[in-house]
Amino acid sequence: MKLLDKSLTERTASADQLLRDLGYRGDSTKVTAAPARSTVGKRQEPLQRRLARSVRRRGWLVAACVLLYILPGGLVAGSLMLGGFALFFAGQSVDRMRTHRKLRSYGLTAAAMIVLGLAQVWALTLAFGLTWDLNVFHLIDSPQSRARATQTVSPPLPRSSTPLNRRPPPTAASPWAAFLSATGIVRIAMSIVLPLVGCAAYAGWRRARREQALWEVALRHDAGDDRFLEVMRGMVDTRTEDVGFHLRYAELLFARGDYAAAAVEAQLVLDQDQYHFNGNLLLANAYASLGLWEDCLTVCHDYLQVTKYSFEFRELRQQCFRRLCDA
Amino acid sequence: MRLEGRQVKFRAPFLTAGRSNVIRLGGSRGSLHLQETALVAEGELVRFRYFGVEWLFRRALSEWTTVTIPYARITSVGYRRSRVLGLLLMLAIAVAAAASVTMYLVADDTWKGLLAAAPSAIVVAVLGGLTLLNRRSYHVAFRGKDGRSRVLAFVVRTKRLRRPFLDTLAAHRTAAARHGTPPAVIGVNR
Repeated sequence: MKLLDKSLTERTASADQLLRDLGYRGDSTKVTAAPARSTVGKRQEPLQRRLARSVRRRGWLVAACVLLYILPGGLVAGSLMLGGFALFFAGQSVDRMRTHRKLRSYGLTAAAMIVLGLAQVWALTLAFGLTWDLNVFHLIDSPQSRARATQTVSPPLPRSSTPLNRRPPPTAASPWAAFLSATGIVRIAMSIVLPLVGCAAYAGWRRARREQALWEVALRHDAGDDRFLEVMRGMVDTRTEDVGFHLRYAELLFARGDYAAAAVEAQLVLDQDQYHFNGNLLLANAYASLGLWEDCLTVCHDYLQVTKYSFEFRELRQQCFRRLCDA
Repeated sequence: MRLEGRQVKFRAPFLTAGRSNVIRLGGSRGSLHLQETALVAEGELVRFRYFGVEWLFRRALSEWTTVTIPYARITSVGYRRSRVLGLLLMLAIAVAAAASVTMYLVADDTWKGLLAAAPSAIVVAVLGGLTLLNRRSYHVAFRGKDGRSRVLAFVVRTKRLRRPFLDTLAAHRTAAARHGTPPAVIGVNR
């Protein structure tokens, strides 16, 4: 049913819709009389394993695209560049709230700059012929191979041919020349296709990771396991625009009783989607739970200005009035 | 009412590079929901802008998100394109095509003629692409919480859903106008 593809705010609209999603196409009033579907067919793989496989496969595809794009153009320079990028990413990913981690972050960033600089220097020296690098395309397209490619393949002349008809037959390009042109085409195709394939694989990988995280939350939430909250926090940091995911994280914090953190996260959700119904409601409830009745009143009042018929906010506003009057 | 990915396609309005008020949802993987309180667009939001180059790698630079537009904050709904721009583009294409043909005919050699005609032919191709981008789409303009106007653009691909979609949206807007505060007033208040 692809429930994980759906928005967290989206609900199945009707029983008919649910039946359609389940694959039933007949009259909804006779669904109980319909014959049950055979369960003897192909055994389905568990969703958790399928998601894990999807994440793994797409991750490998992204890595392969990056390697194929960078390394054939120069093994040493490409490796240095990849190493530099990896160091830079690691340096920026470090949590810089503590002093020793801050120093580590600076160190990694500095190392990344040095390695990236080395990659540039290596490429520069390569241009002047001072160093050597393993370049797949240069190996194929070397002066020797060019000379070999210029050799033409001529079919042997028949013995019976007279001087008049001894004109040389049309020469065919050597197979090596054809291979070289094919290599050139492959190189151009790689430079165009690989970034596109890599981008699509990366987007798919992110999407699969999101689904996997939501699935694990659904599984572990009731088991009292807090590790997934850490994982979600890490993902939320890199997906600030993902309103649905962020809201789920805020709701989990609220459910755990961490109202202050839930209020902060709900506020961040509303930075992305200002009129999000559930986001505003969560923020108002978090303020109410923290005893910040005036803030709760402001949230309710602002939302009711836009949709006066939202009874949830009206109820909460009444509560706020009562509490403030009592105080 | 819900329009799914195959029924709706989000489009950034033409020439959005310099406009910050455009909701940069893109592609056909999103969906559009006409809920009781608001129009909710869900899809891939392009997070960065770099002179339009970001649209070449849109999915890698996008994040899945939602945009909620309360009916009371919608200021206008239109099905349009820029006619003046379209006319100017057509004129420019005609001029460039005429120049290309003239260059080819005036040259004394076929190859020289092709070389001379190539630049204006490229201009024709680019302008043709821009004309395709200037297609008709629904523009929903609304006022954000900060009072600024924003635009969401999309195309309803399924023809038979266009009328029901517009009717439902109009009905929700009418209901919201009865119960809500006018958008301009809210914008000023904030």
